[in-house]
Amino acid sequence: MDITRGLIAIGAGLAVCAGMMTGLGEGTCAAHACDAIGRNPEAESKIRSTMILGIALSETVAIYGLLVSILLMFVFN
Amino acid sequence: MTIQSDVYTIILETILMAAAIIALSKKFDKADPLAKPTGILTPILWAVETVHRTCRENVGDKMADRLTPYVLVLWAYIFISNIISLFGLSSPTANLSVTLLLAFLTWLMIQAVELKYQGIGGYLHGFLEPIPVMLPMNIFGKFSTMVSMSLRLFGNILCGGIMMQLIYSFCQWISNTLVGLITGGVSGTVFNFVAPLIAPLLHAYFDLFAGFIQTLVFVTLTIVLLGNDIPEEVKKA
Repeated sequence: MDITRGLIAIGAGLAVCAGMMTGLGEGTCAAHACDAIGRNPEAESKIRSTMILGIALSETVAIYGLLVSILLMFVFN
Repeated sequence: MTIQSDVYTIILETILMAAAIIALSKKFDKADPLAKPTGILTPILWAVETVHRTCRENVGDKMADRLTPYVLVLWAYIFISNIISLFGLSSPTANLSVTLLLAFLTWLMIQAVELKYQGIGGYLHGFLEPIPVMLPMNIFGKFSTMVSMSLRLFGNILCGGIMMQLIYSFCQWISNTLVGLITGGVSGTVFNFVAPLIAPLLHAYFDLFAGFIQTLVFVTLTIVLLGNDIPEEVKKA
């Protein structure tokens, strides 16, 4: 019985868990940006670009997890 | 050395997109600047003004005039590439070569701006800050911008495609099982009648919405990262 394929699937599933906390972090970031816009509506464009920068930086972790799982599924299969 | 079959599709799609954009720009050039904009000119005018304003806020008046055309081409190319899978073609941005090239262009611009405003000495000294031990980290950090920008776009678009494939095969399975239940166990491959009920909404999310957001993120990152490297007094001038 070939156990490798099953192990690869488990590894791919575990790698995607990198996105778990990233979702929480990005949600917090967006919520605080909403707060900031509510408090200071004139600074909306500045807040938006800062928020996108922060979200994009933290999203990198999730993207790396995703990449690892894609590699596991399609390269080592 | 073999060439991926994707490459020919990408080249063809890029040529088609370039032809469409050039044709539109010809029309735009001919339009009377004082008359009221009509038809397709209205959204294009709005897009150009919005992008120009965003560039002005982030990189200053002088640089904005030169940056705006590049940013508009990025907008058009990435957005059309992301949503082209709705029309049954494969997305160019679901290929790492394309996104890596786009991110490489942005990265090259950032390095050029840093060299221009910090000088060669300042640029090289930046590798040793805050302490010389950080040298390897700083070298990786320089390239991480390019890698993460390209992987973000690539990963999002590719995974949208994979999710849609999974959903279609799941709908196929549901159709087979439902027909099998009704006809009493005899089930081959039947017409996938569940997919038209479920898929359109998910297409709207994975292709249209995610494609738009990823384009926005890529373009905003390009502008903001460039703006970070330009000193404030140059922006004001």
